[in-house]
Amino acid sequence: MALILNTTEIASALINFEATYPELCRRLQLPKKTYEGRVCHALQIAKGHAQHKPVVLIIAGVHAREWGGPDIVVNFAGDLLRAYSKGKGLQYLKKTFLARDIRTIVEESTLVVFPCVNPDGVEFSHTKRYLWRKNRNPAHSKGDAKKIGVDINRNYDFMWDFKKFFHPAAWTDSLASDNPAIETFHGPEPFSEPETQNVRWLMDRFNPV
Amino acid sequence: MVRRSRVRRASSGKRVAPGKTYRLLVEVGPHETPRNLHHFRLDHCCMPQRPADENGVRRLHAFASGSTVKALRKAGRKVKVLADADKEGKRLQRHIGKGDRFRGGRRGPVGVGKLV
Repeated sequence: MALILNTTEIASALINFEATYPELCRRLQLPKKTYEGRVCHALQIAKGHAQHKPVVLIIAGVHAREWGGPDIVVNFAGDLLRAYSKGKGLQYLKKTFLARDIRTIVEESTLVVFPCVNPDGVEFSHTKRYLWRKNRNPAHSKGDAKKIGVDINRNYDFMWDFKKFFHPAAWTDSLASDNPAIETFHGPEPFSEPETQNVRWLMDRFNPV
Repeated sequence: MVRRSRVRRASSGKRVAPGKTYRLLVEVGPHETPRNLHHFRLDHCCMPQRPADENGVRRLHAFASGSTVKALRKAGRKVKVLADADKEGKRLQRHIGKGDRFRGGRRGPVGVGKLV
């Protein structure tokens, strides 16, 4: 079984892509460091820098325990770059993408991939507690390890105030929570977390996505 | 006096311990939603869910403590314990790459697609 990429390898893969395909991609350093001091990077893939091209943003590694997402994104980016540079198509089992499909993606759009939004959480899930889901911000834990972290995918501003937008009958833990002990704790306010701020930075930089 | 074990036998044959975490399936009635199980505080966020089986029976895939498994059964819920989540996690963590196979960027991933 292929080994799952760790956070170091995810970062190194992006460095390799930029070095190997300098005409096609460049790494973008995100402005916010994580709580544990990690610097995050995304990768912009495009032939040329025309402003009018549609932008597609792909993110992964948001919920720490959902392994495989970063691997999928990294491998997809690598396959795309490899295929385009050789003028080839790509085949995944029974599904084939022709060389012209690959050219369309690279030449007629800008693809931005951010494979590991929550590296602190992913690292913790990989090495300590497999079931970890949130980031590793202890600000609301009051010293209780079980209350560390904010659910990055509940920290965006879209319907962040779930009690305002949803009927009380829909208030379940899977919707969102204002309790730091729950896996879906949405944080003290929208975009309170550096991880969410990094995604917002990409959305703003490449507006519209 | 016979000392009673703290470990409870699960209906699926798997023993559960109160303080441990398990991955399990909880049978859900045809007109129920996860909201009906809300008070058990099951962790099913973003878990892959199976469709109803050929008999129309649906089961919620979730993580829960041994104490919660006991409470579910006491409430008449059918629970199938699939795995000790902590042990399963340790086993899965062995599949995480060690070090840096890409050597700081000097090497790169091969990818999984076949060039055609």
